[in-house]
Amino acid sequence: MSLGNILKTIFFTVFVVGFFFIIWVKNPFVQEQEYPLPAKYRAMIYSDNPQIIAAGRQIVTQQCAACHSLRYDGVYPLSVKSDPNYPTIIKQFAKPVPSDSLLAPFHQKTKGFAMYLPEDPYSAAFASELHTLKSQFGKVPPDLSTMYLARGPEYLFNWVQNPGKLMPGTAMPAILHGQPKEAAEVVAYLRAVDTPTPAEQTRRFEMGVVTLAFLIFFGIAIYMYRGRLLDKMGLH
Amino acid sequence: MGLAKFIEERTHLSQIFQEQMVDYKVPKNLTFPYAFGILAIIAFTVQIVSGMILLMYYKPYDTLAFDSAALFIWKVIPYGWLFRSIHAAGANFFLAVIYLHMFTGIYYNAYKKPRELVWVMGFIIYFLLLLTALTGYVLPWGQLSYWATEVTVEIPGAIPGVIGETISLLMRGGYTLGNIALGRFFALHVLILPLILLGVVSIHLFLVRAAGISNPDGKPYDKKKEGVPFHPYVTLKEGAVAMFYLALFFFFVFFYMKEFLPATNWEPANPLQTPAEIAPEWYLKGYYAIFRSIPNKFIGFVTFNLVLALLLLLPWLDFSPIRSARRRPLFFAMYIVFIFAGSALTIVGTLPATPQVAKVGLFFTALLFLFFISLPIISFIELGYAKAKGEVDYAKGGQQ
Amino acid sequence: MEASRRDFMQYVVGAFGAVAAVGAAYPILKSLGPNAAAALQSKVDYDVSQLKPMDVRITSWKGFPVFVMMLPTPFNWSGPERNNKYKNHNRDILGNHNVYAIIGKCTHLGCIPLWKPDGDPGVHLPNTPIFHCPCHGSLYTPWGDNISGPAPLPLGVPPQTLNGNTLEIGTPGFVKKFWNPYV
Repeated sequence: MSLGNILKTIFFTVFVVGFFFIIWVKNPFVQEQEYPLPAKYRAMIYSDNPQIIAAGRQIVTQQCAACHSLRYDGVYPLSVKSDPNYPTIIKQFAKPVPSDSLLAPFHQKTKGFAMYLPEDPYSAAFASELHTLKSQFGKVPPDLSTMYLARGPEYLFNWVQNPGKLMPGTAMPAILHGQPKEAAEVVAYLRAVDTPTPAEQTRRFEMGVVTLAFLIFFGIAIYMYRGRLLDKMGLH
Repeated sequence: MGLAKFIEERTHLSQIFQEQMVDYKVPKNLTFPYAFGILAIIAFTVQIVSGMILLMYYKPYDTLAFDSAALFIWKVIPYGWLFRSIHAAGANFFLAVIYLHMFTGIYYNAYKKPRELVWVMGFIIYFLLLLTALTGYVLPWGQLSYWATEVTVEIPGAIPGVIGETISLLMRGGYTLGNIALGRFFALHVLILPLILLGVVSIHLFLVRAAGISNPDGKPYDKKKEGVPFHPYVTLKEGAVAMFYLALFFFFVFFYMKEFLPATNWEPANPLQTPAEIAPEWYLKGYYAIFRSIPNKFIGFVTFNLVLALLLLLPWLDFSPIRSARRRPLFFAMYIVFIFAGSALTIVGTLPATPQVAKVGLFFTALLFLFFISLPIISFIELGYAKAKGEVDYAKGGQQ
Repeated sequence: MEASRRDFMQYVVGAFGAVAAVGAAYPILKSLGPNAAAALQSKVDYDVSQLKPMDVRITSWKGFPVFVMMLPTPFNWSGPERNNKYKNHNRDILGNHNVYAIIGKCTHLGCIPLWKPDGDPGVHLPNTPIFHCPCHGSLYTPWGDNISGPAPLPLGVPPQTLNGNTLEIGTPGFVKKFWNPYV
């Protein structure tokens, strides 16, 4: 290849890689809002520690569930759970969803399955409770099932301690004001609902490495095979 | 093997293979970007296979859609997470490959005679693919799914009067994005558009073979002396490239899905609450940036559609008999302006909508149009140059 | 020399291709199979505290209809028995347990038999409790052993154990192995 060709190849390669890096990996032109998360609490959130997760779930089921549901792990607002129809509705309409090893201990009565109620029977059967919550807060407090993925640990850690600071005018009270340890426990639990267990994460990581290595070697093998074929045909 | 002989006697497949793949000669100097076409087919196949699996479990109803994707497919169905990741990343990779394939064709002037129809079919594929991506993005029914689609469907509403309203109304099947729109987009995304795409891709491939593959040097070449057999010279080289492409693809699938399953879309759609930042996905952001940078909505709508129209009309805008940016320094310079402006516009689309950003967007929009306007001017200059040098043969076109 | 090296590479590429095909097929096939939620259907708990003697309740286990029964103690059954390989097959398995579960699916063509605690004069067995399949007339003892009619085998018996007031169907206990005449 001539010098011109080499330069052109380098230029276009850098251009394409740079473009996709900017839009897919790190966009230097867009400022991402940063929320403080001290290392101690970050470690708690990412620890996969069953005690921390259990503590977090207890806070969620006893305090957050005053207003919020978390249907993917079978958590419903306290007013919903004390509805006399609640056991019948769950028995008839809830779909058992298998829990992973970190969440199964909370569902021993249902053999390790969380009782997930789909949205339609949930909103219909408990319409009056949800309506009460709506008139109290202006809207039904959102379900927390995917909140960890939607907001991230830094935002949530700060949010549960002081919602009004992050979103002025919000109807959510500062339930865990000045309680960073409890906030970390809650976020650890929310993370456990939305993240596979460490064993499963390792499994997926290994699957990825094997797939990548396999494809690279496959590509090399095809290229070598092509070389042999072309040698045999007298071209190259 | 007995089975191979059985099939061979009844289909003569090896003879067809020999004629179509080995005796079929192509230029020896095909460059790496020529592989993007094959990669596009592979990306298409990946989407179809992963889509088929997702189709078994996804529910196209507003109160069921989000949970069917975020709970059942993501956590309950074995390997559901893998197929969702493949399909989400695959859509982005498919469009990336299509853009690279398109820009390769523009660089080597592969839209010129006798390949104008190839280009037209390719443009139709590109447009249908954008529609497929748009209709697919709404299906998970997250906040971004809902609102990005709401914004995009509103854009034809920029056409003043009854026409604009009617188009928006027809797209949604109503005044708001609800179950009718979801069902309609589902049918489009899963069956109607893919079937049409399959048809157009087949025509596109046939036309490529009918016209012959272009030469990166833009010169005619002697098939007998300089041609190499398509198999194994090109097939296996692109096969190896395909494996490395898949390796890059699966790297994202297994280790970096953050961008392709964006955080805001993990919130269920709320028609009464708009998220802080809504914008279409990156493959539409360029057009979005053009639209946003023009104060008048209707003119903005016309402008980005004009870009699409000019793209379609490239074979006729660029009527110079000389082919390939390798031999056209003026065209090469304007090509750099073109890809720079297009990339810049996409990045501008990621920025918040402020007046300063709109000015920047307007600047790059102007640069983009400069490329298109320059094409007939350059063609005129080059035509005169070729005629003056007596290279009238090129003016006739010829095989290459 | 050249030819064998080319063939070697051909086999290498072929092997990679075969592994790739299996690697792609594996997650597809696994995603089609039963997930963990299906495992829930393999263990069903039934509260028997409200049952009275000669009661039969219907529930479901692994997709089969199941009869949960309570027989009085003592229970004397004077009905006929079929003289074949499966004579008293279920009665032997269930022994003297008066609370048990059997699969309520006729081994002939799959209908759900009717429980007739007072017998049925129409089938010449008055005052003898039996299961009578309405489709083609098969008759079974209260333990599910087939007496007459086209049914070839006794009714199925799931693994089960009695835990206080809960009959745990699917958990091995006084019945260890699943007697499955339906395959």
